[in-house]
Amino acid sequence: MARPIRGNAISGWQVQRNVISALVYRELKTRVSEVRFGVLGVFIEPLGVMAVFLAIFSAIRGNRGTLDVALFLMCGIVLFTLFNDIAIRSLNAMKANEALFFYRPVKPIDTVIARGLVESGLYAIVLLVISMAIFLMREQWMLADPPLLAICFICLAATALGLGLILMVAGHRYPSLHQFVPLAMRPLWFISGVFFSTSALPAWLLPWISWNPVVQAIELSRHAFNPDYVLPEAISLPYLVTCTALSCCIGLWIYSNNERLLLTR
Amino acid sequence: MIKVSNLSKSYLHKGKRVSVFQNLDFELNSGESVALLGRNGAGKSTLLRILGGIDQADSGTIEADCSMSWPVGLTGGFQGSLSGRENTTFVSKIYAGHDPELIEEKVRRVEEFAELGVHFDRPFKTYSSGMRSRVTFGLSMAFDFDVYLIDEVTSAGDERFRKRSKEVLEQRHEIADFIMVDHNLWGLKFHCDRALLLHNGSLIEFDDLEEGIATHKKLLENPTQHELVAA
Repeated sequence: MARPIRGNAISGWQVQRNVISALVYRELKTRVSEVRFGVLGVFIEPLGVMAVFLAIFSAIRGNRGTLDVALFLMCGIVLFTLFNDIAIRSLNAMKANEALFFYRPVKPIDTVIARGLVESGLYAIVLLVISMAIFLMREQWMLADPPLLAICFICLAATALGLGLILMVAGHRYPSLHQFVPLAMRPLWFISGVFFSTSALPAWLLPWISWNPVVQAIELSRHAFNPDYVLPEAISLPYLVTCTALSCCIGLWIYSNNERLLLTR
Repeated sequence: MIKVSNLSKSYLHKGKRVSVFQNLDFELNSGESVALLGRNGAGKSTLLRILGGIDQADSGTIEADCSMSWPVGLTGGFQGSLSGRENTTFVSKIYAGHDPELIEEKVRRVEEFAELGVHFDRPFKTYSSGMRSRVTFGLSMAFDFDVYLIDEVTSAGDERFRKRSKEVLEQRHEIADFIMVDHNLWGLKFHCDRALLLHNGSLIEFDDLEEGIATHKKLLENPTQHELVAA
């Protein structure tokens, strides 16, 4: 008894798009269901953390140079947190989402992309809300180059995603990385220019700091707020974009060679 | 048609390879439903998971020209803090795509089948096992697959749910095939034409379901009677 094959065939891209949109839906609903005050509650935590950081560090630092200290610190803290969150969450993606691979179209990379999209959206809104608050307090609009800010943000998120794919595979092969990577993120916080500007560094130290795409993105975004904020030559957008492309390519290459391994129990 | 050749699966347990089954070969034609028999731990669910594509075999190939469901009746993939409706929407988005009306229709079908009333909007973790079965079974049947992998679906749930799930399975049986695991042998007799018996890592095919069940029962009584299988 032969039967026609039912179900309309759709392309791989459409399947992936459907899966990612379903995962984003699930992620958002879960976050909203786990906090009070509904949708607003989701933003209260990161906003609160940022506000506390900003208050403490602006009190310590005082106003410096061309860029408002609150904006200076906000760029550092929000972008670093974005990078850190995407990377760490990807590292834990296999464990956190194991039950989802029960549905055949869901692949590990989809969970990483969906989480990355949700985190990026969340921190993009946090960044906008805090800048608005600062603008209102200063009664002055200070964002000179919005596209540059957006590009820095997207490049950093994509770099973190590529790194996240590598970490996901590595963490699955070597479970001890689950302890090690969060530890390694702490020194990264100190060398990522969250508190300092690269133009204030001595020339001999600069190359040891500027290789890091996180520093690049943070410094470029400060420049986007105020073009008078000076950047050393070592900080450049093409370098950041190259890092992003490299990170994504290597991440995808490693992932595609290991997808089967990730899905084997 | 599903063609399985040379399929082997093992797990790594404390550094040692433990084999589940080796070199399975079988073919399932479209239009026939099979019962998967074997004692607890024989590897039935593992085989279903591999057929469903959610676990990978060590070696061997599966060729299939039909769509296969996820193992019906398992609650994996449901988020406890989300409601039945939200979990259903999530799965519908994966399988039904971008069309909001289609997704809504699927969710409505599940809601009608589950008959949970207000509980459909309460967190899934508050559900009893019978309520969970109603939602997961309703969800699986809301989608059209060529082959349904059914793992012990009717064991939980009350009389009404069993009766209605039986009706739904009957209807679906007219247009789709089943690969069933069920320790309720009567249910198997009702839906299946053939039997596959997993024993000691190998697989025996029975063209006659009754014969398969008889051998299965003998092996349950006396698991070391390997000559029954060799015959």
